[in-house]
Amino acid sequence: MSMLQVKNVSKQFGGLAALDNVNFSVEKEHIHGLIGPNGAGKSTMFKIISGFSSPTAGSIIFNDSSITGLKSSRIAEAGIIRTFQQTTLFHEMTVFENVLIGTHNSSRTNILSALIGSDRKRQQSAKNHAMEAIRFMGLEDRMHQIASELPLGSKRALVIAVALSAKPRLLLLDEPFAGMNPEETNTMMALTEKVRQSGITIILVEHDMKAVMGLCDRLTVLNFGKVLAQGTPKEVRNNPEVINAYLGGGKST
Amino acid sequence: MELLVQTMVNGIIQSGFYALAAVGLVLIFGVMKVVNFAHGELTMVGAYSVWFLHAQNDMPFLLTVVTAVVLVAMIGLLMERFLFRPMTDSPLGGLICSIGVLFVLQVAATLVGGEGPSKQVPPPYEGTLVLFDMLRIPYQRLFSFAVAATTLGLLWYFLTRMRIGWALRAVAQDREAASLQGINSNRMSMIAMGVGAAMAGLAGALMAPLTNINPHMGHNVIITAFIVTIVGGVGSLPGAVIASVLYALFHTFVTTYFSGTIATISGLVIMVLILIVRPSGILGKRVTE
Amino acid sequence: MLAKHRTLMTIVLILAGLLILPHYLKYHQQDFLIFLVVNVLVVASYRLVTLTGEWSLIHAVMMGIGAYTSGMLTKFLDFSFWISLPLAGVVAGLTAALLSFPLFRTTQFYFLIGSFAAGEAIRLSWIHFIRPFGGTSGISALPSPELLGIDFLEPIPYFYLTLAIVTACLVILYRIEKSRIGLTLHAVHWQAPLAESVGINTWNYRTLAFTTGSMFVGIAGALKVHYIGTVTPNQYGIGFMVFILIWLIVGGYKTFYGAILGVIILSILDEMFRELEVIRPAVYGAVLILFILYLPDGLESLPQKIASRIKGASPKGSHS
Repeated sequence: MSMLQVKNVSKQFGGLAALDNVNFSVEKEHIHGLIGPNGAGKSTMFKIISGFSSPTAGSIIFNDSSITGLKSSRIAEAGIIRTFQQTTLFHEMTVFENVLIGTHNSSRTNILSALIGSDRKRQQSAKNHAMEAIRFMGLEDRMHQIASELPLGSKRALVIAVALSAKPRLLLLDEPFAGMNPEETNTMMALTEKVRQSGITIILVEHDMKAVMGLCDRLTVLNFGKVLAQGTPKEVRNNPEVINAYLGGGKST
Repeated sequence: MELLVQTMVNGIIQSGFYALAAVGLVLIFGVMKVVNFAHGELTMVGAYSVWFLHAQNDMPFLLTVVTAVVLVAMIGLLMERFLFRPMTDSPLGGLICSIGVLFVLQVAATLVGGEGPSKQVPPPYEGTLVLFDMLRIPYQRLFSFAVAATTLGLLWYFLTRMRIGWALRAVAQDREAASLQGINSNRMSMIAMGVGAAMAGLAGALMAPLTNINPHMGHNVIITAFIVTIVGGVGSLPGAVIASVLYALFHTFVTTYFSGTIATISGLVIMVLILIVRPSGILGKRVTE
Repeated sequence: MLAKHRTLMTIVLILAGLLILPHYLKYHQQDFLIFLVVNVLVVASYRLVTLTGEWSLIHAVMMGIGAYTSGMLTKFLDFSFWISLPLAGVVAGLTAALLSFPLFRTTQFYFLIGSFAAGEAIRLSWIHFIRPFGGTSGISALPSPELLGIDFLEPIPYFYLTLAIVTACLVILYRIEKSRIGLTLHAVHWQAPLAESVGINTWNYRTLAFTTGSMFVGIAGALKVHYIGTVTPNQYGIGFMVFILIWLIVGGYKTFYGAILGVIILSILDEMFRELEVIRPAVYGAVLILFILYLPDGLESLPQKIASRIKGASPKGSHS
């Protein structure tokens, strides 16, 4: 059984179909690439899976139960955590505070226990958990730095650390390689692989073909809101329609 | 029956004032993203100008109306240049500045007019138009309504048929994209604020012979303008005009048959209900992520 | 650790000073001191509401709800002050919780205007429904609290009562802000979508801050009303709301102390410049404008600003 199934999903904006009857499924502990030219509907798909937008038709099945149209915070509770394009962080806060907020699901509390301190154990374990995520992403030296002052590579690592501290079962990464130099890309690829090794399934939206081809087990190619091709990176690379519409379409990405 | 028709006519005439005030507020918010809390005080200054110049110093009425409009537009321009422009990045900052202006203008009015009871301006146009032996419309009200309607018509022409109006709407829609197209958004802000304030001043000047004038009269104006803005849909000028007519009718009816306070309370409740059912208002575009 | 001790010492010293202060004051100054302590609770509770980045314009009315609740319960139903005081908080809190459903369907501008509208609707109802709210002149001759045979009618006992309750409330508000919940509220403010993405229900937390803040200002309303003995709709209008805004902004809304600093300094200045009379609101308006333009982080950011000026470094701008 697949971990995530996207079934006949369509999304209309006004008269325009951003997504048109999209079907694909993601296997457990895979890195699943979602690629396609700009405007192909990748971001819309991401928003729909993570609950930031709801589909006009179709359904999303996560571990055998439908999560279609649930609130984003409920979907996060269910174990699907998304990241955002660029570096969406709590810029005013330290690295540690950022990651600590990520532990919300396991450390939420109510006013009364916060006041009398009866949730102390839980808060301590949240802190430990946050530390783990920080070490996992190699950020321990920067723990007390303010997020906005980090270099790009560390910001991106922090984005993932925040997501990891929320204990995802499925992680949606939105262009984590954008704007990186080759060295940063290599480091990031290694980290992404490490996340998968720890048992987390990943959906990756990315334009950097080196990263996509190097990391993904399977790819879904979207074009004008429709699925153009699916398969292993190798199959997709040799698919004439894909070459025509995307890879060889004169658009170097 | 007579009362019903008369109330309806009164409501429609009232809607002219509401629309003038609300459209200015919407224009300012649309272009500058600032809630001008002092908008009611701008109408108050318009009314005070007419009281001071016409009723106290015998200047011709029409001339005082024009003076009031120019004066209030100048206040608006000063607010834009020295308060709202430095606060471009902080919408809350602009709002708070306008609250500061609100107090300054109220005190200025108190200093000019003295404390004491509300002021009255004797209507310069005497007489009442009687239609079908039952409908009575004082010429003063007819005049005010005609001026308000003409002004709104001119604004509509300005916004839809003239290049500069088009640029104004472009800035309202997307400031960044507009400036990429070479539109000077600071200049557009000045125009929006100047026009918006001028309309508030006009509303106040036209209202002057028909209402009690005191430093706190702006309070009711801003409440009305907020209700109309939300009901019509923030950022929608036609919405503001339609909502003005609807709300003026509603308010006049409830005031006639029940009381003014009940009318305002139910207006506010309707506004909160609109926020629940359709936050974008009756004509506003739905916000898409 | 040392800094923590020093803060604690400062607080103890201030409290000790406050305990003996009223004995050296004239009658009207004692009045002033009581209102000041109540207003400290008003701004501190308002700050909690603003932590999620949503500035409401209904806080003054919430205080009025507390005042009316406690006033009516004690006067018409003979409730003891000790029961009506917490109930004042509960009723204000419940009102806020109910209003959250319509108001927090929106944020920012809409929320601000919506909260203003809801507040005015409530306030106009006090004016319109003479029974039971008493119309424009409100309700007067409200009883003063009593405990163990002590009548808290006189300023000095009432001051001690107020000081004790407000201090307790401040401790609670401070602990909320420093707790996990405070951190989450900040997260909702700075990056609501990211907060949502890790499972934070932003609606819940906005409502929580709004409700809790309103509860505490309801208590402040009850404290005020039983001292002056009268409650009228105009005490809690937009005028008073603007005072709350000014205190918070002039003091500095970014820290817990800033807001308190603002209300204390402005109230003392206000007391000193009473003879300004008519033009007083204009002075307030001007102060508000000058601060938002030139010192947006408030008085509490002043020492740091001066320090960096002296060092010759460029003053640190406000991050937006």
